[in-house]
Amino acid sequence: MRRTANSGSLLPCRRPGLVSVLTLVLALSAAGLVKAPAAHADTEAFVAQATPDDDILMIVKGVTYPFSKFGLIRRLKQIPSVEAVWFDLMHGMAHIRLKPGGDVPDNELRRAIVNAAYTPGEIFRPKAQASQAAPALH
Amino acid sequence: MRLSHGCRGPIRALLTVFLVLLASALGAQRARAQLTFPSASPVSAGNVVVRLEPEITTFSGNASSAGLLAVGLYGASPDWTVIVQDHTLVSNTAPVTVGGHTANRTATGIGDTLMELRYTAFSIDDVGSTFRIAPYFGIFAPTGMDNANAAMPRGLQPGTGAWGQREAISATWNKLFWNAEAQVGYENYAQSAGYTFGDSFYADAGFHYLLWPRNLEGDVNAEIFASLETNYTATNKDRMIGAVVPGSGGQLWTADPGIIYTTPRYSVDATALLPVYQHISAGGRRYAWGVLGLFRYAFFTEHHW
Repeated sequence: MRRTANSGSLLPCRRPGLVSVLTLVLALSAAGLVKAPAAHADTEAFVAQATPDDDILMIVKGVTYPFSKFGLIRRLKQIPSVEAVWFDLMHGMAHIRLKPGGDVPDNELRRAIVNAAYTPGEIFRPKAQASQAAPALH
Repeated sequence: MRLSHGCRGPIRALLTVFLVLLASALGAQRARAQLTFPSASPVSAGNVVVRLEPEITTFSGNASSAGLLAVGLYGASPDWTVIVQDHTLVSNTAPVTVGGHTANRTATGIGDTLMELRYTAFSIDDVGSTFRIAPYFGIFAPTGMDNANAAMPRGLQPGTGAWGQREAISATWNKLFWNAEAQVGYENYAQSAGYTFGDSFYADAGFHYLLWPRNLEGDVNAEIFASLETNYTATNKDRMIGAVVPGSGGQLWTADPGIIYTTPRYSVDATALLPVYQHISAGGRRYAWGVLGLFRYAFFTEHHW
């Protein structure tokens, strides 16, 4: 009988167990919700420690969990000069590594983010910004 | 169905009433939103997401329903998503009395298909946060088998045999450590072979809470959420050639605790469907419990509007 076969591993007595476990786990982790840090509190520190200098860091707004990273990363990888992409959920930061000698304009990065259904934020180019900050290079 | 000539009248009447009562018990959840109910979460342009959702629902009196729903989502543009939901397999089982003999009978076959468009009408994004509102516009196509088992009533066949429509609006608020979602909707069916399924109103809400990891620093590629969702459906009575079908329609409210494991590429969910309130005219039969699984896998294509 199809019904017997289907319900064999779905005994009603398993329900209280599932509910109890979830309730317990929720209660134990509730304190963490209060302590959840602000997502972009230390963005500048994150940018400052990013390496190497050729990498681009870009804030992307609206990304909240791993499954939503997939389309974003694949969209950015469609750009020919992009070699690899990582995404930091806590800081909302895409870490974009370019191919050697490659470059990508800001508007192309922003277009990729919009196509990924998210909102582009500030773009950091540590190497270029360091060059602009050095008087000898102006 | 063959019955002896002498007893055909009263038995047919008794059988009809009995089957209609059973049909209402299973049919009351026809409009229940699926796990997780359609949300307003972002779908990137070019993304293709395939979901497989096996479900088992049981009722008192040895009645049950099992099925496999296959869902395909395509991000046609950053704002438009095309969704096709196909009830690949539906199997409804219920005790049926024929000629004074009661036996469990099953109607198994292909179910109907729902084609939907979703438009992201409003969004507010911030770092680690998004709030979105998206209306849905859908059409049910009668691709299913509405006569898989002639001994079973219309409401227990895998397919409805009727065209229908569904409109809904969904709101999603996603944060790094929790997600909250809600949806309200309405669906109705056209008449088919003299039978019209009752129209339905439904309201769903869900809350997902991040269990693991608690530290999201770095390139986090897997998360586990605890999930608690709730589904409410109110269905009007069916009509046969304009007359109300006795025992059809009703209200069902379920609470659905579950767990979600998600990665960038795939997601696996499991949820129990537990009754909170039910007012279904089903000859004393009651919704007992259900379980719903979900496997989701993402593909990517560079093609989009």
